[in-house]
Amino acid sequence: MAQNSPLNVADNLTVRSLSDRNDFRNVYDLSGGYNKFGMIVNILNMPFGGGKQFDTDKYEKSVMGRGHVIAQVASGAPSGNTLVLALQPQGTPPAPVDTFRVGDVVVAADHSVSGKVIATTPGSITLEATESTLAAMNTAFSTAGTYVKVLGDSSPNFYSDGKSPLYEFPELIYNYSAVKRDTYLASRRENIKSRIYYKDKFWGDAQLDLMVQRFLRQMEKQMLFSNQAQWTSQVGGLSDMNGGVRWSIINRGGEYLPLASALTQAQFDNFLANVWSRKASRTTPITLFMGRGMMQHIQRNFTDGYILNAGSMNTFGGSEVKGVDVRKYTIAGVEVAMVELPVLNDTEFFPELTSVSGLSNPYRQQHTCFALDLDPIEVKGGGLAPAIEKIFRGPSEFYCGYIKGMADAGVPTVDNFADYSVDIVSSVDAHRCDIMADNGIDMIGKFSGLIELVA
Amino acid sequence: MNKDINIVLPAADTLANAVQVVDGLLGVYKNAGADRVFTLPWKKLSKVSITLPAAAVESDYKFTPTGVADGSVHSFYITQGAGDNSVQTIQVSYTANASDTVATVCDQLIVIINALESTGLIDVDLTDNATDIDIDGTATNPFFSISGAQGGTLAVTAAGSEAVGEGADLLARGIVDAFDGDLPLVADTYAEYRFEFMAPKGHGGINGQTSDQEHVLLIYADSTAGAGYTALDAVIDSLIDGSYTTAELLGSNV
Repeated sequence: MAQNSPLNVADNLTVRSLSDRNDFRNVYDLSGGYNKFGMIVNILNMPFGGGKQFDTDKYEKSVMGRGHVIAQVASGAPSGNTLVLALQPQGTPPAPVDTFRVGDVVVAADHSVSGKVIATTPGSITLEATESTLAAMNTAFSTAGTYVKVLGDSSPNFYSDGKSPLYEFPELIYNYSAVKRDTYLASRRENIKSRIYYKDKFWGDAQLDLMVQRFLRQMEKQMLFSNQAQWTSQVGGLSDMNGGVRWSIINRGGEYLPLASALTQAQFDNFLANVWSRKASRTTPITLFMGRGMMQHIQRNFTDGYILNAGSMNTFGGSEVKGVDVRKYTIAGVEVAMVELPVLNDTEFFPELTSVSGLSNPYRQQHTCFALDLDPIEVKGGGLAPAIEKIFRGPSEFYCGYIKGMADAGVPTVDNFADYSVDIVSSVDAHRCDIMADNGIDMIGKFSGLIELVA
Repeated sequence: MNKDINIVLPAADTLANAVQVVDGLLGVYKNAGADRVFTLPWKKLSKVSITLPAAAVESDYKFTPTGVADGSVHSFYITQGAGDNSVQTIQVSYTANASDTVATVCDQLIVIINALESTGLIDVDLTDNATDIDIDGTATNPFFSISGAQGGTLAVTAAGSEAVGEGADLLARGIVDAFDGDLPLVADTYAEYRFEFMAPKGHGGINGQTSDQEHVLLIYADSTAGAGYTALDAVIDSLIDGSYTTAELLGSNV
């Protein structure tokens, strides 16, 4: 075989096929981190034992609000020296309102006019004038859609008697724990010596750790965006899905602001005020978990004006120019802490661009902002519960098992043939690892909020 | 408080003789007046009230954006309790940019409302008229209200109201005849006649007490019974306004 050639080394195929490649055994991690939110949820649950275990079909929770007696007027008309109000039915299914009681003093939006309930039937109340007049009451209460609400009781000065009883009962809310699985299966022949290494060993060995990381990444996304559902799947039958943070805020009375235009400062301030107002008092600021797009938008448009010429740290006259990075925002008694949630910045998973004009950052999901109340929830009668509960059905939250196949069988000897000590559970020339979680979160939702772009 | 006593009158039993006052006893009859299923002493009756069935009226609003310019805000608040959700007030808000017109503002408001609908928070019908938007209730959720309009005019074509006395709603509330187990029919509507009266609970109670306690009898009469329903309703009316004949009210044992 000729070993001489007029071709130079670069053009000589024989020589090129013998050329080596540089050492790229180390695989660089470009994931950039994950599961930050799961970590926060874990921390919230630590003081409460790490998570709520249950063994029923669904995780139920009873909740109570403030129990105001309030209804919307369907129509109103004077009758003699009284005003009779027909009330809109309430509830699901709609039922006549029957919570007003004789003796209740009621008001509408105009607090200058009040009336006293002197008779009730389901769906209707009869009012007499207190300090007001029949005409004033008619104006204040009778327009359809007016809210009529009980201010309190007014009983006569002499020989007053008890009221008819009223009972308060909780609303039952529920969530599902969701079964999640992932699997690693490797043939013995797959576990080959490769150019890339994992912990100085075969790349095949990395698959186990990578599966766990993949599993945690999906859990983080599901914690945030999973919709609550129970349905009969065409592949496997009855299935549960856990209602995540977004679902809880929207479906459990949180403040939801869908936007088809850039967030304005007035909208932002009102949104924060509405979230803040859902509680009479808070022990910690509301935490805004947001994408980088929203952070940029807020800092460029809302906080810039407050910190012009803010001091030596932001001027050349000082020691260092640090630029602008506002992580706390306070207005009208509302205090919020702004935290970036990396998963929202993942343009590989959220590549969708927004059509909203006026936004410098075009990635739609980066403009999502969860305003989360992380204060523990008070329990009626005493006690606290975490703002976002980790829940899991069954004895454990996670399950992981290794299935030994022929790949793990070991070397046969006379002895282990005799005493069956080389035990495998699959004759397939492979080994397999399964991971499973039957878990989810449960969040009150009412004290939190969500801003997201819908275009 | 004692548990309500429910009696459901099917259309065949919704007749004038379904409620009679005889010998000082108010009786409720079924099987065309043949079987008296419940009685109470007339003189123990403290209050009678009627809730007549009413069909739902779908709310109907029209929002017309005005003053569209770069940065103009066009918004309103929708208050509705759709599906299993409690009543919530949700803002629909769009901030216009320089290229926007009334038509594009309408389009963007509809995008937001559609997004709210996909979450299940609200349930409305929309009509994009290019110059304005019509927002109507649906058969499932007829009633809602819109208020706080900004950057546009809001016209209320119909305030709307929830249906009253629908058989499906009564069924969902768990209404069932306490004696023969008759159920309201999904497709029918019912008048609710409420009788509050004092009567012994019977033996037992707290410390075996047999003194009078407050009871509520609710009769659900099928309004699709036509003439029979009209006649029964007139009987209940006469019980309330006192036009029931003295002879009937003051029976021999009063």
